[in-house]
Amino acid sequence: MEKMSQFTDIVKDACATSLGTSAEQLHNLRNSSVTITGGTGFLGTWLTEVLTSLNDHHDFGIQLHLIDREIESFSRISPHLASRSDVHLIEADVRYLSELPRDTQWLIHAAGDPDTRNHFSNPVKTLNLLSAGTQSVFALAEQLPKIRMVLNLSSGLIYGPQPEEMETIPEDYSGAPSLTGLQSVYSEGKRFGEMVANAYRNEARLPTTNVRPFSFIGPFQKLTSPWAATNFIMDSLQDRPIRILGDGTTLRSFMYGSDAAVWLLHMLSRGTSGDIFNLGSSESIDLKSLARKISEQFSNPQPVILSAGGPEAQKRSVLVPSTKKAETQLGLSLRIPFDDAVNMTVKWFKSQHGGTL
Amino acid sequence: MKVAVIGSGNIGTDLLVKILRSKHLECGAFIGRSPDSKGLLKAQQLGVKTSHDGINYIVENPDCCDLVFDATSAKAHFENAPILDRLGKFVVDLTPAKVGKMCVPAVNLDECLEILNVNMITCGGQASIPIAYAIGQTQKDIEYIEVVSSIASRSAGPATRNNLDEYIHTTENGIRIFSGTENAKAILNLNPADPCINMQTTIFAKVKKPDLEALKPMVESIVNKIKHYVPGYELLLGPTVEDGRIAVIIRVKGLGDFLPEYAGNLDIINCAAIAIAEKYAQAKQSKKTQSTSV
Amino acid sequence: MKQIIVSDPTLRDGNHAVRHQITKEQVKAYCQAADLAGIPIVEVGHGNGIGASSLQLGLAKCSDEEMLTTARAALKNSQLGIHMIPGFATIKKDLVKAIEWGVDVFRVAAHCTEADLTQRHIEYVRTQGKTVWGVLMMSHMVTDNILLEEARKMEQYGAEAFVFMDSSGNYLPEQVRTRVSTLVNGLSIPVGFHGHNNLGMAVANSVAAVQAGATVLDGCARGFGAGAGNTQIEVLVAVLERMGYKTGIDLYKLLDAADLAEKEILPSVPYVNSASIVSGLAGVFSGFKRPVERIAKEFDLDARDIFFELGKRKIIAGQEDYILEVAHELKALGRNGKDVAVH
Repeated sequence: MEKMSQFTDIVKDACATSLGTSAEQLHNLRNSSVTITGGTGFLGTWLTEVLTSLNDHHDFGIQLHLIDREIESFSRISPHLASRSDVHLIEADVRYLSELPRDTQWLIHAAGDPDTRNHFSNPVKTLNLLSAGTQSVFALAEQLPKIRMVLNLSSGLIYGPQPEEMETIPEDYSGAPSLTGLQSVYSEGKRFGEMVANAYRNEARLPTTNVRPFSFIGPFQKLTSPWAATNFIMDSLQDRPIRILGDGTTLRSFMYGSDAAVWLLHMLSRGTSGDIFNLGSSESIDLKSLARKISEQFSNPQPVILSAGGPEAQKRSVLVPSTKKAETQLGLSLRIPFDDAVNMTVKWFKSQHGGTL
Repeated sequence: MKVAVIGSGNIGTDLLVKILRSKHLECGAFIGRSPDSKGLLKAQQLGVKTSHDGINYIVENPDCCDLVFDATSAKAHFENAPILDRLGKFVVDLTPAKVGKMCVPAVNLDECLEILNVNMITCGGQASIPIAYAIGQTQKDIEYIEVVSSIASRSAGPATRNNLDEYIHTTENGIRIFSGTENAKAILNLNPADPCINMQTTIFAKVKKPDLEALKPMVESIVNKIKHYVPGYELLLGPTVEDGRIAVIIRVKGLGDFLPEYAGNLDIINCAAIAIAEKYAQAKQSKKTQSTSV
Repeated sequence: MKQIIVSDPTLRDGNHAVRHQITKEQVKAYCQAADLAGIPIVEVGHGNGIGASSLQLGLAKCSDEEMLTTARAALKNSQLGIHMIPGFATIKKDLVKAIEWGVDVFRVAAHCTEADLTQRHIEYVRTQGKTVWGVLMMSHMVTDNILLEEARKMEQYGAEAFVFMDSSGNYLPEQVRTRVSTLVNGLSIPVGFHGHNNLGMAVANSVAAVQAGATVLDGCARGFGAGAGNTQIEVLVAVLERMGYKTGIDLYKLLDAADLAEKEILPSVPYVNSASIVSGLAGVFSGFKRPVERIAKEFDLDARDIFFELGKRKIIAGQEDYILEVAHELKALGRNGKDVAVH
């Protein structure tokens, strides 16, 4: 029980920090109904944490519908959310849904499997989930009488490779993923999804926003996911040196889960139809430094670099968004600095796993 | 007798074609989840009543069938099984859920009528268990039985690939139970050769004193029995003793109903499912005749 | 100076050459010698890896447990590696135990087009905190780009290195060079090469691989392995040293280990015999040599005819039962061992 409260406290505190004094700016959400597809994933869970904390501490009176193909693990990891009377769980595949909750005013479409392993093993299914899933959700959204905004979660990968001389990618950069091989299955599906949103905005006058998420860190990530940060934490929890693939110079940037959720709610309720926003941190860090920061939280040996790859593979890979648009248009900023984000993430995983796996 | 199929994927659609051909079965409902699934379209074209409401359709229309083929997934079958049991439907389970009794028509068809849920094990199991059973019935001191199946890479979809370990464990378990041998091993090869290979299964046994005299007629008769419901089942070699092991090689060509012909591995499990369903239909029919005559 | 990781499957691949009859004592003796020589990874097991002892492939004299625990006790500095093929071995039956027995490096292998079969196994080993590599066998059967696409899957699943095998000894150095370049440019994990010597190219191919950017190589003492044998490790290390690569292996002690292997384990030193050349040309798995020769004798057939027929049918490693069927068919066609097939 003590463990339980320890790890919900980490999350609750983070929500309060990320919200800061901006709760009132989200007043459009008051007494409304919010529906999230893919609602029990990483961003869905964080959105639920923030929305329920708006209800608890600011009397927002939001009704929340979470739609997901699998809700069992959500109920297990977040029983405090699953059991709430203002949170409604719907187990369904968005491709086969016949309707969305009728009172929905705000819709966030976050369904889609971000696990790169599945993109490579089941590329056909991945494409179908993204294309048929997004088309199905927008077709149903068109029928919602009270809909005020559909926020489509796209991906930072839709830009294709970030040019070396470009420090951060702005929303108007028009790069594209390569069509050679399988690696663009997910990003190409996401590009298609953005165009579905644009088409419904134009033809059906449906208010839509496209948001392109980059990399995140924080509780509710699956440690077995093939992401650098989760891999590093898993290595550390198992008391072994972190292993970094490549030469460690790969640049990424990480946004904490509660900051991401708060930003999303601002984009959802304060943006105008047709907006496009990057979602992430513009503060880049190389993987070697990330590994060092994580291993410092443990008494483990220094990270090991597994250098490999030819000249092509060794071209420094960079994926860092510009967040100027969100900052200037919506006045958003990161509330949880990167160092705190790492500390809190590691603390949460330690409390959840009791330090072991 | 009226039957329903849940699961409108390739397996379900192939079953449908077989049901429509059967003298004993009539398709009361063909049920999927996605309204635009190719299987449902095909069924509509064939004039079959379809639904994309999943198991709910049967709950709401219990008279649509007496028997249900479940061609969904193990996860879905765990949910479907208790519902169908409550409705009193006989269930032929083609998923790897292993809820019901293992059914190999050539071996235990009659016993399978005693309960309401039968499981069709695995493709390798359907091909090899009858032979393993024949070995178990005729040989003394069996030390070990091994079955090796090769199937065309294109006949193995994502579910098969992701459940390779379960395939092995389930097939081994089936061999152990039906042959009475403690030690069993199953191996599966996926061959990408083009044109696609037919399914081939080799059954090896290590026996103290191989008795081919006794084994040969038993294998012959059981192969004939299987041919009745799996026309593409063929004894390719053996039984013979080579390098101190009994070897029998089987080839299974598919009927090519909806699935391609090289998918003998999928065809055999569907053929076996139809065999048990027809048997159930006949048993039901004769019970009816009996009770009316009383 | 570039570092090359040399992994030594003498006690695994060599098992093919002795019908999987390597003994506990042999495992112990060779492991001690390899450990002294500083070989980074020593691979041990049935020829086709853990869980592969079978009538199909040959029953091993020594169980996986005996071999691996014996090796574990004998290896002080070297890591203990295994080969694992989904379809033969499973997580529950084999990998769980291998972790208990102290295996360090798990090489999860599949036929060159079937990498997705390894997803669950690679993930499992990865989450258990062990080192896991992806291996694709019979790699000559696909183009460079398909091999890269399959290798990328393994990388995504969590493999920390990728090794492709010339399971039939079919490659020529130029092919290896372009293949390795494609792989190192498309992957961010180390690339390795496992050579067979059917056409006498194993060392030359390994050199080509390293020159093109590979950093992992497999080699066996005296080339002890299936068919015509593998890359000969003591030659390989000597050549790498001369070329200025670092392996961390003590050449003198490696030569001692190879001498020991020849004396204690090898019934005969592998050489390129006629059947091996044919199997290399036909693109048939080198591990088929022993069973093909045995069955050819039993059926009074020419082993070369069987090899070419297997190659024509694109039979892959693991399908050893097809040898029997092919022999029956050839026999029925009246091949009596005297005809020379024209191909």
